[in-house]
Amino acid sequence: MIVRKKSKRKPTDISRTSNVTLSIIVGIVAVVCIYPIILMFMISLSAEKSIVMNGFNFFPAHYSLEAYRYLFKIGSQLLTSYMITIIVTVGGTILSVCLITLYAYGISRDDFKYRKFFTFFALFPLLFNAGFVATYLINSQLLGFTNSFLGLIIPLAISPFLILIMRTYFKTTIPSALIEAARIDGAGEFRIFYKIVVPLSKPGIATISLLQAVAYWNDWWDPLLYIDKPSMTPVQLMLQKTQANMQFIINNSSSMSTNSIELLKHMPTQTAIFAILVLATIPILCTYPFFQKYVVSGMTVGGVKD
Amino acid sequence: MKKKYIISLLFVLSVFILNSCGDSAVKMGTAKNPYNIIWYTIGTSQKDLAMVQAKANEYLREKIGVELDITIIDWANYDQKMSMITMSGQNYDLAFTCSWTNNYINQANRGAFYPLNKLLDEYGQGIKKVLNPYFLSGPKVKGELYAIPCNKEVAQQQVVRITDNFMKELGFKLSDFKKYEGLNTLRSLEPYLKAVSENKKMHNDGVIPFSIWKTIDYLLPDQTYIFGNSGLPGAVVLRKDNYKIVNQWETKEFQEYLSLYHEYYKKGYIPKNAALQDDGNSITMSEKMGCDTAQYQPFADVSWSLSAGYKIVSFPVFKPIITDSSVTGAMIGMSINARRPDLNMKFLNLLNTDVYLRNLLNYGIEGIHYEKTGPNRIKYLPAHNNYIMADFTLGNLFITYLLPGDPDDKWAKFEKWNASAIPSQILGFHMNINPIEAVLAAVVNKTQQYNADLMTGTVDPKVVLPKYMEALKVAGVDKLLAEMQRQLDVWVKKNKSK
Repeated sequence: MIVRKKSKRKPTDISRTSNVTLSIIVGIVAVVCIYPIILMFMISLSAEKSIVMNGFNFFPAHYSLEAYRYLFKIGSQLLTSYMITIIVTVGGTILSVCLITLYAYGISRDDFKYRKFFTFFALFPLLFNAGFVATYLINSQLLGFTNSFLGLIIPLAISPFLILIMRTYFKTTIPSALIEAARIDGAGEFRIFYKIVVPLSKPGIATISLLQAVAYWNDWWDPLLYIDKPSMTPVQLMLQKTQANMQFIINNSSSMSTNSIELLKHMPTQTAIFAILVLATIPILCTYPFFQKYVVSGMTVGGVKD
Repeated sequence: MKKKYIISLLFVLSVFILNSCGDSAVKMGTAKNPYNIIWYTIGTSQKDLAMVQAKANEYLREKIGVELDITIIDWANYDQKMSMITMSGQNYDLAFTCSWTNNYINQANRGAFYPLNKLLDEYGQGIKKVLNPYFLSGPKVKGELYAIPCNKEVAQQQVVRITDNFMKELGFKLSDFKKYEGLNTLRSLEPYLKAVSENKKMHNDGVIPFSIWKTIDYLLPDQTYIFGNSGLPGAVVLRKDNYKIVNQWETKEFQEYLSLYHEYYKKGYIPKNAALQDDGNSITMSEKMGCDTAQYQPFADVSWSLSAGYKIVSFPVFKPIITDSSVTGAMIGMSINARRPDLNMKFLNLLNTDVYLRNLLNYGIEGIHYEKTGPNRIKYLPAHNNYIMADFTLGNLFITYLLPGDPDDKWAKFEKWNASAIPSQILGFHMNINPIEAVLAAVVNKTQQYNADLMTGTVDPKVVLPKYMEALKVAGVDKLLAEMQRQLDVWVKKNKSK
């Protein structure tokens, strides 16, 4: 039997010992990656008391669902925030993928006259920009982004870096002969774009969609600038606020000359923060498997071929 | 192509022009045409804010012809957001300001706030009557008041907090410790600290004899520090008519403190990781604190015990001192861009004197968020959870209702304690950091490197302090102190030579 098994091995297979060692190494790396996520989950299940006593522990002394009960208590705010985040992520990703692909396709075409100018136009802010005070001034005073979806979506909608990726992608995967052929068959520019270019660019589009979706999901900086109303606060900002508030009050308790513990009493506990964290992380984790098969090919393309 | 550029340029310009078209604020200020006060304050967002605000507006419209538009910005984000708002010149009327966020002195020096002296005389008579006079004289910047402080404790006083159970168990009494004696007070703690560290049961429970952490308000000798208790060089020894700036780290008193802390550290009273620990709250909350230091205000013992869940007692290390940071602990400033300063001032006056308005903003609506149990005593109702405000950010505390457990003479005791406080001889002097910003940054950098290690006693001051002083010299501390002295001399000439 042993002999038969041995003969089954293909010449390209690695030896049993290296297979085992490699598996162990990769296994360790995988555990290291997933450990914080499981730890986060375990902390959200700990009793607050055991955190105060023993610090964060993988196996807490006492378990409790208090944190999730707290989430139910603030349920309406959490639900609103979730809705905002989902709307922004879905809407923002669709909008920004449309903008980025259209822009990148335009400047990827050699027969586009102002190609050079528009490439420069997109890339210039990557190196030079006016800083965020000026940005804030324009966005809040002139464009009225304050407390609106605009403030959550527009600032992230165009990413020069992703435009570059897509431009290279179009350049390397869509031969100009194909476009010419389509034109000869009587297709207009738009038909060429969505009938031929887009289906051929699925991996690239999937990659930038994923990157943009993650960016929108995790963004708390723009909401921090433009959102004051609880009814417009996305999940990540809510999380950042609770976490930072607690730290701030503890650090400044002496100068605040008030009983800081009194203020902290009304704030979520450590475990509740981790429970919110679980809810904020899980959905975006779940989208990865769907995009994964495209992402690898999308990332490696660009400059390699041709 | 050119035509298109011009058209788009015109479009942008027209938006600018349309945007800047002002409305006539002059006519506002009547019940029919109320003026809208945009008010940024600090806290956490509250569900019932809109409801309470509507109720307040009903009252304010009739009374002085204004309406409120309150925005609560979170504790941690307040500083950043307010600096964005002021830098971009956004319109607002009132904003919370103090020494620890949206820094009052810096904002006033920068010209972000409206000068209030004249307005206070005209519309703020009530404020002048109720506020402790040091609140109105202390925060003046170049002779002008730029924000109205909230009436509360006017001074700061450092105390040692002790867990009552441990003290009794080990056979100590509060009278065993020396009071008001600074270093001697700290020395008199030693027998107690020793007893705690030698007690087997407490040792096994992980009780820390002297709880100190990185961000604690360190117990410092009796000097007035130009930059508060941050440990930045620059201090004046607390003595009448003494206006000499010294580097506190080089004074004998200060070094004696450091040596004592190091001695306690070596004996194991201070935790080994004190200089790295960000927060001692968890030690206090889990009843593992032998003692620590804190800032006192009347009845603090009671509220500390209530929130920690066990009895905490305290005794003073120093007499209460009125300093720059203690009078700028919580204030409401008015924007330089406020369109109707007079109406804003009228509102602030009302906020500090009108019992109904003040309590409405503090506790919410009677019958919904609280109910009355006496003439000035209330009890929370369950809906209170939808409206929890930071009481000390909203004006005069002394007219707010009492809660169950508060003594009847709570505010009277506060006023008495305030009256007993001693003003520092340089109260009212504010360093303008603009001319020396670069040097200051370098010095701050060095202090961050050394302060915590030295103040927690983790390192031997005999070895590390000379190195620290050398590093400060290189960073330009002499220039900083010279500039400080120069500004102080100017101030003294102006204010003290009468």
